[in-house]
Amino acid sequence: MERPSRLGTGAKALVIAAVFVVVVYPLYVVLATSFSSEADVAKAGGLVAWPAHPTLDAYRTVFNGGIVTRALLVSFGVTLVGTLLSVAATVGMAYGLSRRDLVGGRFILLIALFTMLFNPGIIPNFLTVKQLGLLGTYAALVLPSLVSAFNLVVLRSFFMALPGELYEAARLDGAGDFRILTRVVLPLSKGVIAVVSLFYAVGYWNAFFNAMLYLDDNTKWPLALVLRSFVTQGDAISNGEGIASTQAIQMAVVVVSVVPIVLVYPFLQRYFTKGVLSGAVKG
Amino acid sequence: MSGKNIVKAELGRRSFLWGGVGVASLALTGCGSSAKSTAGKASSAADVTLPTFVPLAGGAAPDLPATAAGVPAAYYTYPAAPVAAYSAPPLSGGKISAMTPLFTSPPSGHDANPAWQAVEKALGAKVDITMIVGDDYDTKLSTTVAGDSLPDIVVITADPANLPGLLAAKFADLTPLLGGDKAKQYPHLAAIPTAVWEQCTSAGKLYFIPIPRNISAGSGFYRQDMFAAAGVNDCRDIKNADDFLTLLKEITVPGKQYGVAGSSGNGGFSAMPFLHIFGVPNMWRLDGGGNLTAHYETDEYKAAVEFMAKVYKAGCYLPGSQGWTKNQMEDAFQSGKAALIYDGLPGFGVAYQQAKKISPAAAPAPFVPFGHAGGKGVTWKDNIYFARVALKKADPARLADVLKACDFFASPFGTKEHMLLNFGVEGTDYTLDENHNPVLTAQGKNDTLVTFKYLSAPTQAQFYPGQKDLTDLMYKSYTDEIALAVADPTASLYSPTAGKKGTALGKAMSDAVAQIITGQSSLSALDSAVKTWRSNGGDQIRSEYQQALQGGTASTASGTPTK
Amino acid sequence: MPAETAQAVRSGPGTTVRPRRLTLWQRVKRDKVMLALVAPGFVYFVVFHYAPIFGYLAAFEDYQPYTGFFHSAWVGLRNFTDLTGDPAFWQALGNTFKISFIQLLLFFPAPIGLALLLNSVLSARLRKLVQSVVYLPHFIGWVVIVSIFQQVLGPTGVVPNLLHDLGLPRVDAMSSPGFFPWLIALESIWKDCGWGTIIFLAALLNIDTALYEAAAVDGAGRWRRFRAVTLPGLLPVAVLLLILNLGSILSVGFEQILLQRDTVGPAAGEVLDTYVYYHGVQGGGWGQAAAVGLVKAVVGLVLVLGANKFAHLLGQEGVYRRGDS
Repeated sequence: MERPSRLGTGAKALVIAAVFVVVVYPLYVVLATSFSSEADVAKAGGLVAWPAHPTLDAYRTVFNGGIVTRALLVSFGVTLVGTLLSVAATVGMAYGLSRRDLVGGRFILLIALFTMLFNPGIIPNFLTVKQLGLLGTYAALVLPSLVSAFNLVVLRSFFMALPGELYEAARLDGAGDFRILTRVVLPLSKGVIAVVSLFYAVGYWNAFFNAMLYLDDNTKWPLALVLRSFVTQGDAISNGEGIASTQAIQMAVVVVSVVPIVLVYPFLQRYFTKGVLSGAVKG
Repeated sequence: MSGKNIVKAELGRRSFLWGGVGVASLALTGCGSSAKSTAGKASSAADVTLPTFVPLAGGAAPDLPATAAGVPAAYYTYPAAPVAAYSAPPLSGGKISAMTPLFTSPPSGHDANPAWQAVEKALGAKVDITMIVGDDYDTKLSTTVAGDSLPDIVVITADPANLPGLLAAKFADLTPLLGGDKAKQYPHLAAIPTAVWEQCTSAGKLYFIPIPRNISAGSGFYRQDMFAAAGVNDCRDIKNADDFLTLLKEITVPGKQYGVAGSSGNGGFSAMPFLHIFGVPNMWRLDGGGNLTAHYETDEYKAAVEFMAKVYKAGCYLPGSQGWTKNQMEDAFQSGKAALIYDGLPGFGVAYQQAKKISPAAAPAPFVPFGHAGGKGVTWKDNIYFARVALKKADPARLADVLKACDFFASPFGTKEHMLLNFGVEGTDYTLDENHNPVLTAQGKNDTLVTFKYLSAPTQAQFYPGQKDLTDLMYKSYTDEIALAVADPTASLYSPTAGKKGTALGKAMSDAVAQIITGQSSLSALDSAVKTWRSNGGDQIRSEYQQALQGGTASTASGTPTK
Repeated sequence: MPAETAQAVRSGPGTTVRPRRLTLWQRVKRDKVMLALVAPGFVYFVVFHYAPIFGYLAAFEDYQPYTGFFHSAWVGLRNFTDLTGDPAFWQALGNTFKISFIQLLLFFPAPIGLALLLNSVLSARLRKLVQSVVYLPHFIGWVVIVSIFQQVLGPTGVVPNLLHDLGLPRVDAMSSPGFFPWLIALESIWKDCGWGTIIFLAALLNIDTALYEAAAVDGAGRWRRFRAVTLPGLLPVAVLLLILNLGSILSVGFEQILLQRDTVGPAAGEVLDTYVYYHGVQGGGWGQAAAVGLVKAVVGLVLVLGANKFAHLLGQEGVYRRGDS
């Protein structure tokens, strides 16, 4: 490939630098605020660019009593198990539906697709989960959101974009449908599967609503719901009904919920920073 | 993270039930749901035999006494030797279940919570509480009702539409159990004043037990130090609205400090003190002929809106604060960027302490409204209760047990039971300082977050241990604010139209008023907004209330409670 | 057999053309592995999305949770006529379309642009660094984002202060009704542009590098390689997402807008979801909320089907094809 023009490179660098700053600076402010004292926060009018009196008070408050620690464990478990189940179900379904002449395929695809548009509401969903006997169980945090139609459609379209020659070559080698999935399709789809896994994992990690509806025991609460209680607690203060959480605590809450994602991201990133198809067909 | 809290109302009743937004604006236009009780069609509290009031004898003597008008007792220190309210646990076995909102982080779980276990031991029954983050409580309540899985004690925080229908379908009529002298079996409940019980009826029946509060939510907070720097030592000294405007202008230094800050949680413009200065009636005005006028329709309201528009035009509102969170507004107040904000009186203690932390010279004080043309302003009786609990339908024996539990949770200040419910187990959850005030330990801070205080509660005493200044200030403020407090004549009435459309109607009004205050429309827009309000349901609400009023008066006259 | 294979290869990816004479049962037997793989997901959709469908009964009822879906009073189309008779509903609908349109115009293409930009960066380390940062705002809640924007664009924020210092008038972008849809798009871009690139980057990486090499050998310049290889590789995913986005055209970020609606007033800030919030949900109007939900779903359905058809006319795959059986 020929070298890009100097002007083009310069402009590109400028844009990337701008994007970087616009994203990083507010993130830095969130971090800085979480380490600020109450007085610093009040003086700065909310968000602090430079904590004059850095303190871990906000984090101490959040972690006091081990409730957040336990909720972290719950969230890890639910996210891990949920993501595995979701990815497995989605991959299977997407692979099946990627076969154009699958019997009933179009009907099933539309059935799935419509769920992106229709949502009967909270109460019918609750009644369904209740009927299934899932109330109060961790399964209620996973099963009601097992497959996302969006992820399904995306994955299917990636599977369909794989060169047909690969399927046929495998078939000629005598591979069955399942073998083709594990030996051909999956290895070539690591990138998109990493993406879909990330989507699911983040979905489970951030979900609080199902836990609120389906789990009455707050020792079972996942992190997102416990953190929500920190964020909303200041609201009723005028009734004297709560202790206002400071801006610092709210920002600490953001940090606590994002750090695990930041830690996991690089492992997934490995899979979608590298092309996988290069030369696959030739071989 | 949720966003709804940004638009949190100050008058919490409805606020958290519906995520807060509705009331938010209602605080500006007058909270359509404030302290509204829910009797059924054409009925009022007057129809019901309320619990006979029996004051408790032999309680700990307060440092500043409660008054008949409703000023709460205040204590400088916790009574030295708390008395035991019960000689033996009121229940013997079984379980009491409940559902409440949660406004803190979750408490330590039951098995790791000695305070929770001690409460169960003292009560004589297991206590199983489902605690729901405040913002989500309404959703959870709806699904729980739909799934028919209600616990024994359910906090009802606002007027859901068709509340009478809900109550009749799912909850117990407490009249035969608590009406009249029956209440004497539950001495702590009987010690709750009649004025609070009046708010606990629906469709001619007693359905609720109140979580009492202290009559008025006040009229906002001001910075006495900032007022003083501009030449006014006490807000009570302000003579009229013109002087007030001059004062706010004096205080305002653009870019540095401003006269007033709002927040989206209080409708954007901290309207309450202005409404109070101009003597706007509490939601409705009842004239001698039994006719109701909505506060929107009064000249006082119009004058208050006109004045706020002047304040805005003079640049005395902290720019952009109408879109702020309550936290942001409080920060601005505590750090001296705004001299006046509206927040409910129960939140004053925290604001006071924070402001003093930032600057010891700060002197926050509750705002007591003066009269716009001399004389006195008004406040509203808008904080008679925080919420009410209803009991799931059950046989009388079971209900009697649940009521015993409620009586236990309403153990008053100065009793061993109150100490246990609020501060946990001595040595583990709290230690006593030299003035025998309980000081929570790190563990106690988590253990005592269990929401026993929403299962039933006594009248609230003022208690700020080690802060005599603050205690005195609160007591004096309650004395002044309650002296000015006017009632909402519809407070114990129910209007189906208000239940159904009240929020949307109030929202339309507050939208229109916000436009006027910010100068985007002229004052005459208020008239057309009121006209729309009337035709879209306001007149209907009026006639429903009037009908209920007549029904109520009639049965009071005959002296016979309806079945 | 060889003939069939040859045919299959010619007819493109993922396709195996077989004689159409098979009976249903034969086809089921042929596809049994595939059907077994599809089954768990299919059961999930039926149980968790179609079993609760009775909830839409509420759209035709005066539904109350304590009476239930099967015993609430039937009101026919009244929930719908109540809506169409309310000018505030039409205003909200108009605002929703306006905001959605501007979102499609600005917010939708932003991640594609950023993904292409990142993809064109030669230094792998720089690319990785930027990538591992730009997605983070996705995890910040709207409350925080709105307050950040207030401190930058609000009346006393960084930008107006700067304008003031330059002797220009302060512009309050946060409370200007005219600017509101653009503000919403701007905030959405900040929050989700980086997150949105992830899927496009995956698509770009799925492009066979051999195609670039072949194009380069043919003497194609950068621009031609972009048009001949990159764009066709990206387009199917972009079209797919665009179609799916159209399905939710009547749902613009509820929480984001609710937080800022009051600052600009309902004339610009009321959207369908906030309308339902104030008029339906808060008054116990479950029926009306369900009615709006049904309208949204039907509009979304029509748009998705229409857009999908349109995509076929342009030779794109879309979400599904008629030819799919």
